[in-house]
Amino acid sequence: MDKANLLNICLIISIIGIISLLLLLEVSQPEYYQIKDITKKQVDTQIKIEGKIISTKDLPGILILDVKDNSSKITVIAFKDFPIKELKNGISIETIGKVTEYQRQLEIIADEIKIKNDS
Amino acid sequence: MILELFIAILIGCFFGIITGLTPGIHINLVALLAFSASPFLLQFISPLSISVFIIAMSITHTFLDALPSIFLGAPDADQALSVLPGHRLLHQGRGYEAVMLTAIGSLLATIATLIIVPILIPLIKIGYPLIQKYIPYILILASIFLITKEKKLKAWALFIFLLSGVLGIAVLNLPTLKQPLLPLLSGLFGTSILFMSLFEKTKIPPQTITAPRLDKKETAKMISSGVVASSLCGFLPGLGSAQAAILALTPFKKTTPESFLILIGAINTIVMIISFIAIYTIDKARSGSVVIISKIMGSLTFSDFIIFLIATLISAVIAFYLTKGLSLIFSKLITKVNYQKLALAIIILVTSVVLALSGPIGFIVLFISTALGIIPSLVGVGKNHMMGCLILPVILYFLL
Repeated sequence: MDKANLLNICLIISIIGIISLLLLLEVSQPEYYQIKDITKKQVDTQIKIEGKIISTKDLPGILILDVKDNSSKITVIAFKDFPIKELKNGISIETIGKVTEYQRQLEIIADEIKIKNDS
Repeated sequence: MILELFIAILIGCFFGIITGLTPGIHINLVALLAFSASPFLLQFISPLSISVFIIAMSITHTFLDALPSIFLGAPDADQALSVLPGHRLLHQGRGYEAVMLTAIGSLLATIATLIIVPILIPLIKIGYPLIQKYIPYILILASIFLITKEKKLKAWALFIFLLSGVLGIAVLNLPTLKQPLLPLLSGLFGTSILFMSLFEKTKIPPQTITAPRLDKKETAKMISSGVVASSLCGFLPGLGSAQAAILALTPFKKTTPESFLILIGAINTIVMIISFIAIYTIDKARSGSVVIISKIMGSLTFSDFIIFLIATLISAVIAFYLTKGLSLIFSKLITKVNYQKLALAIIILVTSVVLALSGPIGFIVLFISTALGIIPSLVGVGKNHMMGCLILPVILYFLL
């Protein structure tokens, strides 16, 4: 195979591959979990949870929330421009984020936080 | 405790040999495996020892990755720029000398950086909050600067930067993909280069062992330029050794292959040391292995940081002599080993690791990023533009 052919093949694979990944990204939704079902197996994957805020801690640049559903509770870290003022104790939220392990505790780094209407 | 830390350094150096000599097996992968095993390991050893192990491995890696880069033409992302001058010397039978130039650069850079740590700490502490707001704009300017530095193929450089960037955005946001950086970076900077070396089937001439010839003034210029450029790039997200090297070379009109190799060796190690300093001063992890250290240690105390610096110095001295010994062995073996078979074996190993840790989607990402990683070699444009896979997502994260 000469270099020109190899270049064409690589270009086609790269472009079609990247478009396919973007389409996959568009259709793939994070899986919904009850908090008690989140284990180390989910570390580094994006998941969705629903629950009530039971405590908040406001630190420079981040907001640390403890979120509880009817099974258990977990810490959610909100790094960016979420509606921080509206995130108060007792508010029901839906969160999408990546599960991480920090000092041997599982927590969720929030990518999206939606306030649920029932709160 | 001291004995435990020293053993951790020795084991770290041993694993640094494996990651440094094996293109495609990155320190991040071993650090991640150490982290996965940490609940078990922490029953017997302290978090500090695991961190020191990772530091020793990382430093040794920055010395030894010059060997596959120069002898096999298979660099990792940080050594991508050293291939051409290193290979030029290899084809003159001076492979050993080329490797030793990078090792000398790394060792001198370690000493120089450790000396200026008392200056770097306040500089980063004060400077980072001032520029934090402007990070996306600095990254945009840095990317434009690096693309325009390409002499002829600016359009290709931009195309590869953008394509890598979109790939990075897709891969880093896929909800079901575990360890997304593993297939992404292994494909762009590891398996793609191994594939090209299978394709090109180069023959290496017999090697002679010649001591590196050093011009003291030129060496001092390269080390100081490397320290300044690495300090600027090392604590910004997305920028690494390849970008620092281009920045460091900007003031010089002409460089010899010898001084270029000293600079590359120096920068590779300084960027790693700066990432240790960044985690202590601004609590930001700027490399995969440092992310693992921060997860294991939580917050760092001043005495932890001093132990890290001592471990860095000891590892650098051990790594220097390891590089010397191993490059002597490589010089003798290089004409005898069937490199094609070796490259194929490493491709199979990396693919298996990706399948095990990132699953089938990880394999697809590895396949796509390998194809993309081959393009710069074919069109003759710098591989550093593929760092767009991290730079573009970081820019968007800050801007959106």
